[in-house]
Amino acid sequence: MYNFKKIFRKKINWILLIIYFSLFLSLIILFKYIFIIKKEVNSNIYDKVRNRELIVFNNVENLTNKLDKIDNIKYVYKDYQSLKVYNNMIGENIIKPYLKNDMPTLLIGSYPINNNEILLPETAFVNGKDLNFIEYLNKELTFTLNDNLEITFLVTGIYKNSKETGIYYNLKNLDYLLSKTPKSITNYTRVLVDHYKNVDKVINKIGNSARLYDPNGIEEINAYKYLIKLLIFLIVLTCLILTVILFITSTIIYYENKKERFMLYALGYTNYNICFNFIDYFLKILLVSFILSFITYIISMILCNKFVVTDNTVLNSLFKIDNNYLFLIPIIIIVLVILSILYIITMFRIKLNSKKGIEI
Amino acid sequence: MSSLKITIKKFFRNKLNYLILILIGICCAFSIIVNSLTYSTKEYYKDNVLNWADYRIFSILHPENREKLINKLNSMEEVIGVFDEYGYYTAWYMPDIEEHFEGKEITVRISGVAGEIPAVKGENLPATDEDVMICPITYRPLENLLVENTKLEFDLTPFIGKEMTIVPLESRSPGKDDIYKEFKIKLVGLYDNDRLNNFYHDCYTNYNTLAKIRKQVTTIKNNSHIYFQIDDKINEEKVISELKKSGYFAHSVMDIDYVLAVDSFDTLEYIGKGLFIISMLIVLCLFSYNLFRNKKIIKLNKILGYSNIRLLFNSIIETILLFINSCISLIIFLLVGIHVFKNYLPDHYPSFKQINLIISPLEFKKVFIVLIFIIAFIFIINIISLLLGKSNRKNII
Repeated sequence: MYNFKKIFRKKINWILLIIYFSLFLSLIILFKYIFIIKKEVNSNIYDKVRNRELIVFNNVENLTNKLDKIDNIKYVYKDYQSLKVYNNMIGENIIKPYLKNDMPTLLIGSYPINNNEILLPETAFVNGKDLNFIEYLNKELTFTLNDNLEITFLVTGIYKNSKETGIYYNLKNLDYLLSKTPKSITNYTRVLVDHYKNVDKVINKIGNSARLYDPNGIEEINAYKYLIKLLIFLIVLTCLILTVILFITSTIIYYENKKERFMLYALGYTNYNICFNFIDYFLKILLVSFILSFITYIISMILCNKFVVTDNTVLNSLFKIDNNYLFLIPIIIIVLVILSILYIITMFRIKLNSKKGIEI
Repeated sequence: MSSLKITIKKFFRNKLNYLILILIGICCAFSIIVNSLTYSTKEYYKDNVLNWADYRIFSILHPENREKLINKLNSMEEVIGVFDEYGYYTAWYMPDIEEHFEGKEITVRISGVAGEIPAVKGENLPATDEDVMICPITYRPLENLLVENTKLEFDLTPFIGKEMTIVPLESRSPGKDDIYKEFKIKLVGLYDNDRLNNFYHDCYTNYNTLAKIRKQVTTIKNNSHIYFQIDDKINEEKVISELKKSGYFAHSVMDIDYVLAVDSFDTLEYIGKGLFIISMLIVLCLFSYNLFRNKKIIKLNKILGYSNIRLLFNSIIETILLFINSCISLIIFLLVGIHVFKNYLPDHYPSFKQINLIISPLEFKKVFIVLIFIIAFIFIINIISLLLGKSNRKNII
């Protein structure tokens, strides 16, 4: 077994340390990046309500028995034409009936629960001006619903509208809202599925008459699917480069340690021990580089959090301090696989050379 | 002259030099390919996907003065068409192709557009209001969009030039199977939706044609949106801000979360730059390793009586050889990389079928400049170490 002091007394090992350190750092950042993108895309793109909302061309009454038997259905409700509300101060808006968990993140207040409660955006463009709606929190506002009926809502919360717009209403109270505007109800049914991945399964179970209510989301899903594929390709490419560099540098070290191996052989060491010694030597350099790169990443996270301010959400998440270090697992697996292959190759090299009767 | 020959021979005899050259070539080619790939993907999305007709259609909800807004939009040269709900889009049954899908009712979405749409088969969709449409080259029914199965795809080529029957979805009521309206529309061509990785069920016609047909089928109660199409995505910000100044808020009908895509691409660009720095650092380390290895040989040569000038000359020749061969190695690996990317990768990663890997001369220049800097650095180190060696010897004497 080598001790660390002995390994780093050799100047060449410092060069190897820098090379491996750089590669591990790039792998850490790339894997963290793909973990973030996958998480963001899954929660903010794929799992959007519009990608889970189906329309079934049949009445709710006719479907109740059939839909009750299907798992993965979160909620069943009547189909309706758009629910528009108008108010002098906040202009015209579309009401979005969503379940509480599907509503955007609250900025202030609480989510609507009762049938006369709504959630407003922080800002909106009304009559040629950008207006802030925080002042309407906990106030009652009277709207004209679908151009023909006056209805009063209590604003229970405000959400930050960086992406979403519109007024949110609790889906569980939709029947109350539709009872006020019966002309908006169609004879069809809408179904909310629990997860985007189960949509296809639910469509198959319902049959031919079910399809996505708003297929526009598919274009968005496709655009992101290809982005993720590109990232995975980049990671594969980096891993490939890491593997090639590891093998070539291991060969360089193998030649550098020629005299040492010869000495061990002369002292009576077995091929297995000589090979294990070499792997141990190599592993220690890798281990130190990995630890150093991880420490560097932690330090850069701390520094970025303190000094770097950016609007880029992905970049912010990349250097955000959190307790999720799952992205390290694939790196460790890659290194272990490479080391095992290296062990086999070294063993093979030593055996081959000793058979030939030349230096190991 | 003989000294030069010996140095060259010595360089090519050393197996480790080959390994170092392979590593340098791989690192440089890797940094160029990663940066070019990021750039090419970004350009591909910007020029193709995000500039497609659907991404250039915007809507304004319930304008107070409809006529005023329509006049305003018509006066803007970037706006190529203005229409309402009738001309926007709707879903239709296409009985002509049902037999290819085991008799299932097959739905297609026909969207109204203002400009011309180029076809890869047949003719382009004209910008005039004729009763013609253009469909995707890879068609997949709306019902099967979520399933990634090529068996569900359908080739519409045999239907080019033929009049196709379309039945409006909105003319049917639940529980009522009788179809009471049918229309004929000619399929003039097929557009390349594979290039967009998208729009598997979207056929396009002129917005006036669509509005004319829809008005015969349905009456839209809340015709409160005004839609308009712009000529190029580049003008999006200009048109939207001009409309905002006039008091209208327009938003893209595609409702796509651009922020995450843009942020991801920006971060990817930073990562690309980071990988470039890392690759160059590795190259510097390899050159330093070579220098370090040569020191042992220099010491041996000094014992044999070589002069400092000659040693410096040998070292310079060796570094130049390393530089020239590194460039050759870089070109070889770059060519291999491009070949693999263009010929083998699209089979495993269909997303790369459409992306042209643009090797920017700037990337090449950057790598070349860094290599020259590294060489200059190695020269300086060589000279300093030789001078230090000389002074040490004097001290010893």
